[in-house]
Amino acid sequence: MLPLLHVLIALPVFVSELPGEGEIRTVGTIQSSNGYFTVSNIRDFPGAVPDIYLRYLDDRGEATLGFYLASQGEALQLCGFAGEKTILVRKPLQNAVTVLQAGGAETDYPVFQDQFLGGAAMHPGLEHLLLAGNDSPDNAAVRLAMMNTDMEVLSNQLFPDVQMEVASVSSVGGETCVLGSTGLSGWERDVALFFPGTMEVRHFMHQPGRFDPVDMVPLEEGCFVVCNAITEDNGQVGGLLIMRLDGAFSIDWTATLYGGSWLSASAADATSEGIIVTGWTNDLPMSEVNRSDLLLAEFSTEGELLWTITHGGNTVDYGLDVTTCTDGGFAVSGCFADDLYNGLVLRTDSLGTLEGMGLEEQGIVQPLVSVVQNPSRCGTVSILISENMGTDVSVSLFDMSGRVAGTTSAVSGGAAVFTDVPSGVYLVQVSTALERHTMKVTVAGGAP
Amino acid sequence: MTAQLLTAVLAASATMLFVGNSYTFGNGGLWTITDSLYGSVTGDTLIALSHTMGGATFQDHWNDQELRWLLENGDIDIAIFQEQSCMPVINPSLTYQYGDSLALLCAGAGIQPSFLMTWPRKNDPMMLQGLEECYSRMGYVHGCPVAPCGRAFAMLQGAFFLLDLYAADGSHPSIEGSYLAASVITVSVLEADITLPGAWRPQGISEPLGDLIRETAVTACSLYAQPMEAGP
Repeated sequence: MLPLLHVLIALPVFVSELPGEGEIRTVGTIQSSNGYFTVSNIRDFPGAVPDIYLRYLDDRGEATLGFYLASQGEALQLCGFAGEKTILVRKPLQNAVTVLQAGGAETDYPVFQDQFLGGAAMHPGLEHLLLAGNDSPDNAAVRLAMMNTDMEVLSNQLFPDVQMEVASVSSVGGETCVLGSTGLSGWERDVALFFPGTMEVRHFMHQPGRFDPVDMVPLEEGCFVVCNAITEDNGQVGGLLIMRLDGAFSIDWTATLYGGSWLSASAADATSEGIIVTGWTNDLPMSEVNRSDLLLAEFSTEGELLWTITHGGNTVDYGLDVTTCTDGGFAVSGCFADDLYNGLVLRTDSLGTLEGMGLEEQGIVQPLVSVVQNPSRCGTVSILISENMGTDVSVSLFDMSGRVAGTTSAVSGGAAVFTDVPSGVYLVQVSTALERHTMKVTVAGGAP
Repeated sequence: MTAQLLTAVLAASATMLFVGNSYTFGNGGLWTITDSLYGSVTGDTLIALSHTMGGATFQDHWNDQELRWLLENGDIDIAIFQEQSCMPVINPSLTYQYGDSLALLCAGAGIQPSFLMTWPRKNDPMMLQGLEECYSRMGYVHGCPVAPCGRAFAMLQGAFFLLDLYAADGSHPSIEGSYLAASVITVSVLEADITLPGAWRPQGISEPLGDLIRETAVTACSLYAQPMEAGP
């Protein structure tokens, strides 16, 4: 019975590391029919032109196949286009960018020679692949190109009068829009959207502060825009800001995630609930060695923070890309520091946790302590206490910084309830004089 | 040199105070390297002073009464502050709080403050992003120079992997790293042209390597968008 139960309820979560010589950053992962496909940049030393390593993982995170691309370059982005795994590659040695498809030939595009050298991003549509970027780090004129499903370049245009550092490109409501930022005074920057169809540029967050857009997620109507924000509101410590733009590209709402210390977003994807963002945070623990942990945060379509979670060991950990999987979980690409960076793929459940394995034991043995609904969706945390727990039961709720959010007592066979709990991730500690149990609970839709 | 001449030289010289920790005092001290390099390309005398303490943060320096007395009474023209290497990314709030206090103390005493952007750990190049954000904010708020040493480290280490800018701990600078940092300071804070022939270099650094390090410093400074519009 045990093995069968394990197969039935074990969630497909895993951690897949890519160690090796040199510096390795896994920059993208997409789900395939029988597992996952990942792209990593492997540098002999920091700053060097990398080799691109492609790897297939099975649904348990075990590598089944891996190979290098023949020519050197830096993979910038991975997406699925025309049914193929499509990779945007910058080739510093050739002063060019190219778009490759796994299993296909490594085609060079002479038309892109000396272009997109200041940065590039791509967006897969049904029929067209959009490329946007800047030709030079010193010249922020926008360049936009379009390819068809045969990977032929249909158009390639520079807009010298539109100056913005391009972060992302997308098609929203059938309209192509380029996301970027423009410099204000000093180090301040705002968020800009360029619509090549009308040549219109719209500026957002035109206020004191530094706003660095990182990603744009199209919706059926409108889009999400994810930015890193450094403003007076967060003490000029880096934080996360999300804008929801409506169908007319006006701000519907903004939501923020500001920590006590530096927090940086790097990528986002749509979910059934709203939007998932990955990046890193240095909030906890404060350590000179363990400086950052990989961050995941999900927001609802209404801008409510549903949950956040961090993953990381005793070194630095970075989340560089996130993809929503078919079962609602997430595939997160990134890296962590060892001697140099090692590549990393996390496959989490829909709450960003890696705890899906091993649930079979909890399913058979009646637990001494259990949470009625986890995640809680209404700000109430209810804990059931088994009759076998003993007497004089103390129940404490801790937030992820270790602060006590509430304490109460309970009797064996009874329950402990916390109400009006703000959204977030908490630890519940249930203890008697003889034993102590700790579990994690996520509160969504909690008190403001 | 007569006493009158000495007095005249000292009166014409800038006095620069280096405030930091082991990143600043390693390899004989950034102040001595900067002094030697600056003197060799300008012919001017830089009176370079130091106030360093192992592992010190801006908070430690602010609470150091000896330093505060020196800033208020030491006839200093320029001060350059180096924060503990990780604070800008693990607790920038404290960097701002005490860095702002030190900069304002300088402004009140007629001293030009400046900041030394440190370099990422050797095994964590992405740390540079946080360092740049933090030190750029300091430069922006106080309208003062930032020496982009971190950016110069990343540029040179990425291009020449056999050249190790780091000591064995992957954190502190090697002598090449200290020379690069001093070169960046000489360009960005003292605004000297270090590409001139005969520029001083430390013993053990060959002429071509010295040229490479100084050229990298100049390039890093030119690529760094100095945020100077604000200030008290």
